Amino acid sequence: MNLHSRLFSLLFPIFLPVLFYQVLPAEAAQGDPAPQASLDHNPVYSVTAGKSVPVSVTFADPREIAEMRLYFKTMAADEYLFLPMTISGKVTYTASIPPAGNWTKGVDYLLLRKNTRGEVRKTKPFRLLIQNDFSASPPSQGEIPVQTEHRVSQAENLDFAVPLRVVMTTEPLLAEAVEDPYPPITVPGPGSGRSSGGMLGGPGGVSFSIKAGGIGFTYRSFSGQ
Amino acid sequence: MIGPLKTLSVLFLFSLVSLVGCADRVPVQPAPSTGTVFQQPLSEVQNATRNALTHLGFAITKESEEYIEAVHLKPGETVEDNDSELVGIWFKPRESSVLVLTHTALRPSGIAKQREWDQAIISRIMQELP
Repeated sequence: MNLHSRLFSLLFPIFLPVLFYQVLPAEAAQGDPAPQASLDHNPVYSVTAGKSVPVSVTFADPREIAEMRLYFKTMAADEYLFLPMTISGKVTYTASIPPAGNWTKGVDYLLLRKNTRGEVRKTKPFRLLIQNDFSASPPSQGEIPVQTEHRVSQAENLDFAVPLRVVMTTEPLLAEAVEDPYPPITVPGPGSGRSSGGMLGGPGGVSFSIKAGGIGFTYRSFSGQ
Repeated sequence: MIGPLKTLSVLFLFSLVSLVGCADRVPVQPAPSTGTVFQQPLSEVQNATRNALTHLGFAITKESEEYIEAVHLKPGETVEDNDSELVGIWFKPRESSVLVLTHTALRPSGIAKQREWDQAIISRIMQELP
């Protein structure tokens, strides 16, 4: 074995990870040529009928954001309405979904962002559960101005507890927006029975018994699995 | 000798019961043989499932291509503060159909007021599908 071969065999294992490190980010970059400003949004899961729903989103670097919109529709409606989101503070955009009426059941909403390079992205739609509340007095707000990208039937807006004044937008963005993937979640596997705390099995599919000092204790699954 | 052993046993038992009380309920993916097959595209079945859950009073807390998790909310309850059932729904796409698996995880506390929702959810998905 000559000197070059020896040097190669010695240095190859060292350079191999470096090579991969160089190649992998380049490949990843091909799939996503323009990295997007990462957003932080805590979904709203439920609300009682008659209450408006403040929705906020926070950006690490909001300088990249040119426009933010909050799209919403009742689950029975076909087309989304939207409200522009306004920046409050330095990094947070907010807008409120108008109050839904009793029996609306659910409202879908999503967040759309346009960056300073003109790229448009949207989140997956979030489902908001509307719980009936017949004891509350109707909201006293007047007409709420909202915008739309399609001609919507007035009947679609009757599920809201306040009248909406719908105006056609001159700049539709929803159809061209690229949808974000689902945020990562933990999907329970088959028969795992793991608890999120990780200390003991969850109530599904777990059973154990302990006997110590003459005292016995049994823990059984509540799931009936 | 018996006295200290009994005391230790009681202490151990007490800590064990505390730990069990702290354990969170998590839906467990059931065996594929218990599932229901829908002859519809995945997106249609996912939409129907979301609508079914909402109609039955569930708030969807986790969602991905293959899994939805939702908590049943009684009047006045919230996702953060509730005493209700948690359901997991798994989607297993086949060639021209989707296998749907459901499991209801009950809370150890207030178990008498809870129920298994699996059959009701499947029935409602059938209604929601076109």
